[in-house]
Amino acid sequence: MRRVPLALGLVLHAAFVAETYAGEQDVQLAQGTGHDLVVARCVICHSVDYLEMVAPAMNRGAWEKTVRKMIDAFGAPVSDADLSQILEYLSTNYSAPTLQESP
Amino acid sequence: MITRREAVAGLAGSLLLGDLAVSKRTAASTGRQELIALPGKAPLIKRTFRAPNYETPLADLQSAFTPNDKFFVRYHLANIPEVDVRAWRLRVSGDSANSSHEWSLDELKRGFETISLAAVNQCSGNRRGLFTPRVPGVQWQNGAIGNANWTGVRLRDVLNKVGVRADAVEVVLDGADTAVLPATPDFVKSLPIGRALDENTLIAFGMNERPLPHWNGAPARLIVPGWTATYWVKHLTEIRVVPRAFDGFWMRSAYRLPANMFATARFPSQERPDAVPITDMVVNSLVTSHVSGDRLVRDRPVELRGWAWDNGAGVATVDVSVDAGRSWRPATLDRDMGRFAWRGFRWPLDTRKAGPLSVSVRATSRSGAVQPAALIHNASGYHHNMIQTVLLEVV
Repeated sequence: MRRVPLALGLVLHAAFVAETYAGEQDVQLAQGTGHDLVVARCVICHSVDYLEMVAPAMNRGAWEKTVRKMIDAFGAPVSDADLSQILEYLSTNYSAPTLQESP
Repeated sequence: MITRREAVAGLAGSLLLGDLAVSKRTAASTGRQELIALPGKAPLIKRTFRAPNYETPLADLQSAFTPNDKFFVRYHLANIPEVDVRAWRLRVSGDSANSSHEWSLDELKRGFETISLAAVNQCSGNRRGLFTPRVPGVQWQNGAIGNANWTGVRLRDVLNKVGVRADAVEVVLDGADTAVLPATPDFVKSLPIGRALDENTLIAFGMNERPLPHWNGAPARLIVPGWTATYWVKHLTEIRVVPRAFDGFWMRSAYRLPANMFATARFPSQERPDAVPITDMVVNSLVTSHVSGDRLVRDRPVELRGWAWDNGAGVATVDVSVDAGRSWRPATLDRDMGRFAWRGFRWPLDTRKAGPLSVSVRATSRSGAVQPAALIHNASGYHHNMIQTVLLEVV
């Protein structure tokens, strides 16, 4: 019906297979190092259109705060190695170039 | 199954006083808006697919009561079950309740007096996308708001049935929706016992004389008139009366404001020196008849129209300025639909002279609160209520 199971192929998270909502499969993310990792981790809980939506409000510092919140408060299964690659991808592809880093 | 059309927004709905250049840039970066219909809903502006966040286009905020299929949708967590009304039960218990009890929807409807009231339901972060500097979070523009006639029973009557002990401090509210991962905090909110026992706090099953739509909390949700929508827990299943502050993530860490930034309702058991929970709405208004960039035909009479609302004190006046805030004249107020509803206003635009026409709108509450000229910036993007200015042109 409305939701289509998305095969994640993640043995570690096999118990929590994400269900996607109609339409979200059409969201295209920027290609680049970290793309597959971002898709694998982030779509467990939410569609990836969040990335483009918040990009004008983000820089590397803001992404670090956000991803750490996903890990610490929301229990996102992201290792330290994952984290640096995810941050690199997000700050390269989904940040506002003009946004100043906060002091 | 899904209908989609792309709409290219013109200029953003409003440009902000004294901040023209920045607002134009904001409009450009949010220029493309996708109108997408969730099952059972009309096409709305899609912010995110999952969790589903959809806002009402300005064109659908023209009527006094926002149609159910056009009412905005807001979720934090994506596991949203279709609740079977026959199996649904509302459990009421807690350490500060004398007993516990369960009600089916029919028992709830039969067992208590039914109340209807009109009230504005507005997301705490409505207009977050208009913040300068920008802040993270769902980038709502003006449409995470609606006004509806809600029908249900008083939370107070239900709580009194189980008996509220003198040591009760908060009432904790949980709905059927959950997170995908067990480690993610479930969306659970609490209210001060005083607000829970207020005669206007309802457990609603009706919206605009129809059953609540799935995406707006079927079969029953909390109605906390005057307070922001974060407290209006959807798909309500459990209520606990407790003698201490509820410590869940969505109270302890989320929906917080710096202390002393806004003169809003107190919630003492949840306050800390550095941060207080968001509570009731700040006085606000929205022009619905025009957006910046609209052209008016010279000498053709036309009215500026919109809505004003507050925390339930009631709208006292709506004033209009056509000289960048130097002088203000009162707009005409439409009929009063109740102090928790929004109040229509209208103002005849002067189209006798060709050229640019800047129109600012400022609502004042009966509490004395007035919309500010400058944005009160906060990191979470809450309570955007700065005076709206619409830039028109008479041709």
